[in-house]
Amino acid sequence: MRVAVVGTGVAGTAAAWYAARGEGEVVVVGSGSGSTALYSGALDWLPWERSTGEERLDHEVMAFATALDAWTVGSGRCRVATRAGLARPTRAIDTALLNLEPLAGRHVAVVDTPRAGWDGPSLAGALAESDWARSTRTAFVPVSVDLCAAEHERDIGDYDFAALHDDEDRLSTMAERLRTASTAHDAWLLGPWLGVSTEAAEQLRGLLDMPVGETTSAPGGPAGARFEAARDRLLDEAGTRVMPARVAAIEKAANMWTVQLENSKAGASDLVVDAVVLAVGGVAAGGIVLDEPARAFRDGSSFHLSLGAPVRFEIDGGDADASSTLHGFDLERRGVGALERVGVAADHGAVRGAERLFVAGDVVAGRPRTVLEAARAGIAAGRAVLGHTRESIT
Amino acid sequence: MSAEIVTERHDVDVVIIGGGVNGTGLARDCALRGIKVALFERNDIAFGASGNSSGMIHGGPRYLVYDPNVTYTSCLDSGHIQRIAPHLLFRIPFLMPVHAQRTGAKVALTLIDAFFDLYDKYQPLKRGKPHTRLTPEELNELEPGLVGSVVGGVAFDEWGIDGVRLCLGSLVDAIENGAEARVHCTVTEILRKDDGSVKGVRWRDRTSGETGSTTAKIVVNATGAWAPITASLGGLEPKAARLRPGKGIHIFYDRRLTNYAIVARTIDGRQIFVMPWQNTTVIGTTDDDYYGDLDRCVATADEARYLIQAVERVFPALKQARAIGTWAGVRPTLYAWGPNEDALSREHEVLDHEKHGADGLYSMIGGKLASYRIFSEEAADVVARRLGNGEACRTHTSSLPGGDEEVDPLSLAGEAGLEAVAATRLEYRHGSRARRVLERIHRSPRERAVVCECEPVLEAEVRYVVENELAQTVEDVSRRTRLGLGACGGMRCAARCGQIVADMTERSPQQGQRMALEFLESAARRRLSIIGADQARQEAFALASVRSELGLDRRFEEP
Repeated sequence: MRVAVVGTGVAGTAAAWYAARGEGEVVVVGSGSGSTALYSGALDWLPWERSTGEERLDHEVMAFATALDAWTVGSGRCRVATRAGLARPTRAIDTALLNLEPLAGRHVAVVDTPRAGWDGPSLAGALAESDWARSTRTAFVPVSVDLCAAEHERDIGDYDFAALHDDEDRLSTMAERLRTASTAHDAWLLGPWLGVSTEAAEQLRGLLDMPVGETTSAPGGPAGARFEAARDRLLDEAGTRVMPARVAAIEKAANMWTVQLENSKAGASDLVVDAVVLAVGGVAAGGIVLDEPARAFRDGSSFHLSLGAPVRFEIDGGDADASSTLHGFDLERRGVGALERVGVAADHGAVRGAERLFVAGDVVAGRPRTVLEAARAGIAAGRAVLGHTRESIT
Repeated sequence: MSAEIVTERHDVDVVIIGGGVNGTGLARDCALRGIKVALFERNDIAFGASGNSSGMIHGGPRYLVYDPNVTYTSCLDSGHIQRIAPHLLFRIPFLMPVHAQRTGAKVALTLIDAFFDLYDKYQPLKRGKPHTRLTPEELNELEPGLVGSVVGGVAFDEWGIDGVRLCLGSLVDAIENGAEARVHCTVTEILRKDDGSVKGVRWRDRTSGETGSTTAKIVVNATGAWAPITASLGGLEPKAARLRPGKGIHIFYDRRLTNYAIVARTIDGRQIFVMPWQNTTVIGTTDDDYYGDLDRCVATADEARYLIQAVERVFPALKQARAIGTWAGVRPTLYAWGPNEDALSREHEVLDHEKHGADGLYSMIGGKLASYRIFSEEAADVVARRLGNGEACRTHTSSLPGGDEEVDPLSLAGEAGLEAVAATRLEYRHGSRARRVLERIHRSPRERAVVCECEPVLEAEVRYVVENELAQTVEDVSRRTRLGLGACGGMRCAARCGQIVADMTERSPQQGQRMALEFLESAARRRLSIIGADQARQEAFALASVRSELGLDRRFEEP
């Protein structure tokens, strides 16, 4: 029995991780970062503005987080500082982020270092005036400390600056400079600079013997890179086969799914599998594409997947069809949020009208576009795959 | 009676309502003549038609048919504007292909050629080059993306400008010559005496809620399409300041897609264009009667399709291009019943409301960007005559701020350690005053940070426009600097800009975050009608990113 998981974001990783418990082979096909580029390090379950951050998590999601070894999933709410100056709740965090929740009522030092785009005093001011900081009497104080070793480091991006701190000597220097700058605080808040591997933040905490962590990452920042490092390790340990390729289409033939790879000679390296999990992401990650209006009208649907697959699109419980005026999809009426509500019509992760074809993550219609939902849905798809695989064995 | 008038005290000589090109132009003209002015703008400077025009100081060749006088005054004043604000102008060479399918195409080309012979007579007024008749081969060489069988065409010369910067130039100069100005401050009533003559205005600051009144001998309604509403604030019938509101939209695309501006025809035979403009490509425009909410005028999908279909027929590469935004504005065209919208003149008129019983109240009706200065001069003459001020107009000889001296952007870049493109854009917007922006960096090197990567805009410039150009919100900063109007739609810069604006205006960080969200929401609303495949991905990406950083309210996601 073979399973193909298309997509290497959180949903695909979780699906492959779960499906690898079965006896068959699991092949993960992915071509890049996709939605992990969006990953800020704050791991929400529901969209956070409508959430308390205290939702109970599926025990399999907890097990996935443990296996991934890059996430901190407490029993309750976490709280992160965003670069825009919010102290906002979230259900879990990338381990390198600073969890503010246990620091309520304490003094947090915000690094003030001369890097382009980083304004420590203004960030500290915004955090100090947040509702949470006021109600818990938590202090945020800018502390001047130069973390750059060379002039050019002031202008490089967060990803590159973070990568420097995977080096142990460099990390010790950072610890030393922070310790020299202040010991009067209970924790340090830094920008997203603590490595693109998953160890740097924990090492730094050890060196300083106090909570140290990052704000959220901008899209394409180090938090996403750390997820990718953890993912590669997890998929390797789970014994899955990872193929760095793009899928052109999946087609049903003789009760099996053929996964056609892009740019491969016809049939040469196509995969033939029993079940497929599509975890290709939503509109933001390019998994779902909004059609050009003329084409949309011809095909009756305004959306298609980035690969050929027998799926139907839904929004707000109805078909996501084109408007009748050749304008394509009616965003004026639906609002820009429609781009997050549209997705593949599915029941409990199984694509409606197709056998042994599953979807998980942002590609599914009407589900929250959050990291923990992607993990949950991936696990559910993995579980469904195994169920079907067993059925076909018996 | 006369003794009483002499002793009567006024806060200012003239209250000007409206911060568009006419209001700011008049404020400057009056201030330069030593007349004391207070200007009130309900929204922001250049919020209406002035900031949403085609961005050209064109001579208006198409007006030659209806009214050559418009062409003459436009060309003459285009020349004046080039002298007082050389940094703000950029040459836009136009191509007008003549398609073979057209009945009598060759005759049409000859007629067009002759027509432009006539237009050439006006070109020297605005330092324009005479037109050139082109063969099909030459057209193809100049603009390889053009399709369709052509019999030839003509090339002619126009000038582009950023209308917002023009308004700000006038206003800043007015302020430096003693004028007062308040933005986001709406006039709630035009105060009148028992005899009907005006005595001032009552106003309310829409940001702070503060109210007050300012007395004046003269009140000028320069509110463009809002003019009838403004007239009614003085108890006049709205039709006392009647105009025909014509909505025009533009769509802009990421980067410059063509070498030349290209004239195209719509399905109903109207002439429209696609043109490289600053660092974008713009297509426009429409002209339809509009009676909706002037404060929330946006382009609709119908209007967008109408333009896109027309341009695609001659320049199909537009299909693959990424539309990143729209402008929509309402022209305050002089009222006339009957003619179709395009035939309506862009001529202007200073209305004296004495005939409506409101002595001292005037309305500036009509006008267009290219002739704003001459219109302002005419209105200022009326004001000056009434006040007994004999000073001559100086607005065509005295430079606008930043227009006094040429500055080399590359040497600026070298001095301040900026990227050449950042320095070039900064110099475009501020002329010689780019130096003042960069002085901030000498004092505080951190302000060298780039806040908006797309445009690009430096932190120093954000702070400068808050301090010197009356910007109070993220949207105001965007209007002045084009921050957040690139392909990313402000996703990466709005929050940081909000922090800076809040800091500069002594508002809380939360208010800065709210301002950022308001800008993002309003920019997204202006994009909804043109979102195609590529931009859809960017929009979804931005939604997720903004939610993570700032949080979204439902209003943002839903229509």
